[in-house]
Amino acid sequence: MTGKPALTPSAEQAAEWVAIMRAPTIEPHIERRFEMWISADPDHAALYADMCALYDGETLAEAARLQRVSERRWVNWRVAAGIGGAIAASWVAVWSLTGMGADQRSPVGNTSPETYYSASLDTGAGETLEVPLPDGSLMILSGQSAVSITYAPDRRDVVLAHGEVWFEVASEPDRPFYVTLPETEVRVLGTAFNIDLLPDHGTEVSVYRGQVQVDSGGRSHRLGVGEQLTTTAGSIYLTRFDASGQPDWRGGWYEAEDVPLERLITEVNRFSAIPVQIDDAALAAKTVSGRFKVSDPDSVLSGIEALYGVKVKRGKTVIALTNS
Amino acid sequence: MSICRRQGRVEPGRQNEQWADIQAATRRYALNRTRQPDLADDIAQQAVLNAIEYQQTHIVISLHALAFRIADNLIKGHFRRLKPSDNIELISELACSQPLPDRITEDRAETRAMLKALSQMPPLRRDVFLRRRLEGQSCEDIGRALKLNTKAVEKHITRALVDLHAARRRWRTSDSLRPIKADKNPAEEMTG
Repeated sequence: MTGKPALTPSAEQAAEWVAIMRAPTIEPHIERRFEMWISADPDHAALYADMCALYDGETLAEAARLQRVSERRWVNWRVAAGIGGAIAASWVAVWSLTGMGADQRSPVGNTSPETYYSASLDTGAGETLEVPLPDGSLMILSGQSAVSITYAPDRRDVVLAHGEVWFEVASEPDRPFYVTLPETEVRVLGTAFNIDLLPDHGTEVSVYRGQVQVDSGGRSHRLGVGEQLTTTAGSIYLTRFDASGQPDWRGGWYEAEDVPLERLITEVNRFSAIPVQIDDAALAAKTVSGRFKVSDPDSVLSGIEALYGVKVKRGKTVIALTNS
Repeated sequence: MSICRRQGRVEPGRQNEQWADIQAATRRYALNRTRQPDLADDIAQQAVLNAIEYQQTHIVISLHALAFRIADNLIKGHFRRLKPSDNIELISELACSQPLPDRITEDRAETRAMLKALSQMPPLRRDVFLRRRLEGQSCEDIGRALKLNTKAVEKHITRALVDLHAARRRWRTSDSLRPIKADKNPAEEMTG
């Protein structure tokens, strides 16, 4: 390839034809003129091929999305900081889509309502919400969770701001399904999986059926059934779990195996009407094990009170845990 | 070439030579999209075969347009089939330390070049283009929303594409890490 610019009149003609030929309907006499033009000269055909590939290509689609995202006012500083890395890109996606509610979408004519769809949903403590989506997918939100959903003709996006969600995704090969989390993006290749967003932007992705791809920290990981990928600040690890059932939280349970108390309390807080907080860093880091009925916060609190010698102060607005 | 032999039933005006031209253009399109020469060969050949078959029973005004449309569908179909299984052998050794595949890195670099070109466009040109390409609005709808006539909308899209095309060429030539691929790109040689 030479470095010469391609801005000959033909390049412009080719671009013009792409603009015209991409219309939903083309009048016969226009199409005839196009065929005459493109057959007239191999250079025309080559330039049209380049232009058309550029227009149809995935790299342009991605750039266009990122550009739109950067136009949302409160993400500008992120974009300025560098769009380069996967991390920056997924951050951008998170914030922009969160800020893009149903009312902010550009009005779109002559498209079916299923093609474009957007919604923002959240749940309070102890609440679970089943969300049937227009494409037949299903999301079930655990307590204290927030998502926003944006469907476009070429992709389906869900942004998980916080909480935990069960996904059953209808396969639409031409319209990939993405879940964006701070610092992580999950691309859904198959069907059922669970995402638990931990404090400090840690993530736990568990696959029950099919496959998902997780992009985090500039790397891609493909997970199959029974695989669970946990990312925390700076580290990432893969474990196996029993995928024959449903995630514990669907039944209101949390199975803890040497996890910090803080983690257990995160799960409890998804169900507790009064937030539970740990007033002591050492206590927060203390590991606990066992099967806890987190949908019944009182039973968990009295359990850890008895088992781990934790002191529970039940206030009207907050339940505080301290070392006894 | 097998496709030529099948042309007994094709109307006489459409010569073998014309099909060869269409196949070359389609191949170039496919190569641009996939960056895989063998795959581009297969897609172009299949697209032309399908187009030949189609036009035997349908009235087709632009065979080029038909072949490009078929190629686009074949490319989408190919990546769809590929997606769930292409990395299957990696799953067992999913060590969380694999570098990204080359192609993804390359795509990201190209995406950045596209993004830069988009951000440097005059705002109206950019807005028209994004409405069309990203949000799928028709030229007529964009015209109504922005109080432009349809021809003016098409002109903005044309200018935007020219900008993006130039940016992509600049990116390809300045990408010193991967000049070989670009130089060997057989699609580039087609124009001679």
